[in-house]
This record gives sequence, structure tokens and C-alpha cells, in this order.
Amino acid sequence: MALFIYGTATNYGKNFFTHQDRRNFFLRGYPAEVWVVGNNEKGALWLAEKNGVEKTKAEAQALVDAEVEAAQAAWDAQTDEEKADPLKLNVRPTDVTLP
Amino acid sequence: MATYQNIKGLRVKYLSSDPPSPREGEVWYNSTTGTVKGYVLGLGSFSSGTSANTARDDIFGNVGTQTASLVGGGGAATPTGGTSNTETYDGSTWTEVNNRSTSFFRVVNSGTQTAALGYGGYSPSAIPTAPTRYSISTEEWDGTNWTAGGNFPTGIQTAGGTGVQTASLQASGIYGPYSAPSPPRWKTEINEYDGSSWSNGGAMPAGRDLSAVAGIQTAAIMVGGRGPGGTENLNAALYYDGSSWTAQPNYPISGHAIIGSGTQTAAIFAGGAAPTRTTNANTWDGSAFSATGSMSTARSGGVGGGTTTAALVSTGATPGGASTAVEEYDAAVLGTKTLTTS
Repeated sequence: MALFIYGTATNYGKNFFTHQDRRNFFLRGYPAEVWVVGNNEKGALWLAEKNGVEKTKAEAQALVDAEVEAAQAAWDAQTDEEKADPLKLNVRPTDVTLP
Repeated sequence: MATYQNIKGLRVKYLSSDPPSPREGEVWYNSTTGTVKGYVLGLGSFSSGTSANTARDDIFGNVGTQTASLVGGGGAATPTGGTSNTETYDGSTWTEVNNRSTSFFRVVNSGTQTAALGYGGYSPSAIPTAPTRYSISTEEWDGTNWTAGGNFPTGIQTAGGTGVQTASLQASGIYGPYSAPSPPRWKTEINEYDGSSWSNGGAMPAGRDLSAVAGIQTAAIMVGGRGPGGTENLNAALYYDGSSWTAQPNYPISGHAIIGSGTQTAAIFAGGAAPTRTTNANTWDGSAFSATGSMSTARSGGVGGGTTTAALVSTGATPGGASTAVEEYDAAVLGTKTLTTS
């Protein structure tokens, strides 16, 4: 059995996920409002209750990649001076791999 | 192998349902569900808070409590922009309030919701009134308006800070001139604010920036950060007593832009980057760091607030960029838990 359920859901803020949810199942948020949820009954119920749309891992990864690539493109569009940040803080967004 | 009977002097109870009023540490076998259960202290956890109105990153420090906080300034959603936007949080709603007069990012917020400070920062592009790269400005928030406070002697950005408006501590940061770009300088210098001006405090053992600082001006803890040059992520934790720094046990991970709040002897730290951002969170009890429930979303920077029993993490940089997301931490609670070997 797969360890995780993948899906998209809009984080509406307060009570989108509760303390009890966090104790009941694994939950991790990623770019593009992708959520990775522990593959158990409570995790699946949470995604359904949040009007989430379940995705395959590949579909979810593609959504994440698209958002990260957009952020990378925005970074690439900066001037060379901006990229050459002597503080080493303006770093190019890194790829994100779902578990 | 030690058994429950060896340890407790009792055999595990065989019950058809969970006891109505278990005692802390009590363990039983629930014959209906076929599980071993216990009444134990779980990990603290983060739940979702109401999202802020304005996405921002490159903002550091801690303000107020879980139900009375503020964010002012920081990085806007674009890669190089700053925002003057300010909003307050009451535990359920973010309210737009009067904005700061400057739009720096890499700023520090500290204090309370009704008496805060915003200081330092960076502006990559000339702004009409102050073509500054390293900000020297301090702004004081009185619950309604931001007004100019005492300036720093030199510009500073990526600082850590804590304390109240009339007794604030800035520790860690990169220093540079007010008027022009310059090579960054990591210094051991720290500064203390008395409500009107900054003066030097006791120097750190080594320069660093982007450290999390919690506590008050005369009893603070500093965690993580980056060493000079910005390439080495640190895990060192230090106490400050108002005049000198003392090494403490290392923070469990190395990273910068960790978000911290609480007191010197009861603090919570979450997130950070090294450079990959993390959801990791740990509490400090005055003698050791303990892992606690992680955030749902990896982030670095953002504004903390509150205590180890009720804390807040607002906005910050996530893998997708500047964020409006808020997470609220509540301390561990006693509860019935199914015990497994995993």
C-alpha cells in the first residue's frame, strides 16, 4: 500500500488543518497547493472534506514542478547584478521532490 | 527485556473499552479494537492559522502572542521587491493597518502588537527619499502608526532581534554603509535599543547573520544563522545575559532564518533553511532542545510570536516563494494514544 495520498486543496486558513489532524495523519504542504497526506482513513477523509482533488504522485509532482519552474524563470529574469548577490541570499529556487 | 510489569509493578489491563479517566502514563489493552493504548503526552503540533493578506518573505523576529501579533514590511512576492504593508492578527483575523514609511526587506519586527519595532533591511533599488542599500532606520509602532525611532549607527540587514520596544536586542546581521552598495560585513557587534537610541551590547563570539533570537534584552537565546561569507549554516546556540554570551547545547539542525519565540529558558524554534527549507521544529527548556511536531509547510524567515505553549509563525519564504501562510503551535497535550512499535 502506498504511504501517501496526493492531492490539491486550497488552504483557507484557520482550521484548514487542525492540531488533531496533525496528530492523526502525516500532512505536508507543497507549492501549487499540493498536499501530501498519510494514506490512512483519517488522511483520506481530511482531503475529501477540504474539497481536495486527489492526484497521482506524478500529477502532483508536475504541478509542483510547474510552480517551481515559474519561480526559477522569475529568478532567471533578474539582472546579473541582482543574481550576483554577495550576501548569497538571492538563490535560485531549487527543485522540490515529493516523498 | 524490561516489561511493563517490571517497570510499573502492574500488568497491562485487559479492557473492552478505554477507561473514562486514565492517569498519565497508564497503559491498557483494548480488546475491542485489539490495540494497546496509553494515556500519554503527545508532541506539540502546528495547525493552520488564518492566512495573512499580503505574502511576504525576508522578514525576521518575533512579535506579541499567538492571538495578538503583527507583521510590518519585509519582502514582497516579487523576487527583489520590498513592502511597507503592515497587518495585525488577533488569532482569527488579519487587519490591514497603517503601513510603514519604508519598503525594505530583510527587516526585523519585534515587540508587541501595540508597541513594536521594525528595523534594518535592504533595498536593492534606489527609492526616492533614501537611496539606501543597508537600512539604518528604526520605526516604532504604537498600535496605530509607525513613527521614526533612533537610527542605527550603520546600516544593517538580515538581523535577528527580540525584546520589547523600549528594551530591544538586535543580534546577528550583516553591516554596511547607508548610502551605497558595499561588500557585506559579518560582525560580532550587537545593538540594544532603549526606546530612543541604539548602543552596543556585548559582542558575540563570532559574526553571524540570520539567527533566531528569543527572549528579552537581558535574557535571550540565539540559535543558528550563517557564518561570515554566508556559506556556512550554523547550529550553535548561545545565551545572552545583557552583557556576555555563553554557549549552550547545539540546535538539532544547522540552518539560517529559523523562526523563534518565547523566553530564554522556554522557547520554540521552527523552520529555517540550509539552504533547503525545512518544516522541523524544536522546543528549548533551558537545558535541552526537544523535537516537537513539525510545521506543515517548509519555510524560512517569517515572524514568530508567543510561547512554547501557544506560538505563531506568520508568512515567510516557502519553496513556492513569499507566503501568506500562518501556522499556530500548541503545546503537547495528554491524550489517549494507540501505542505501536513504529
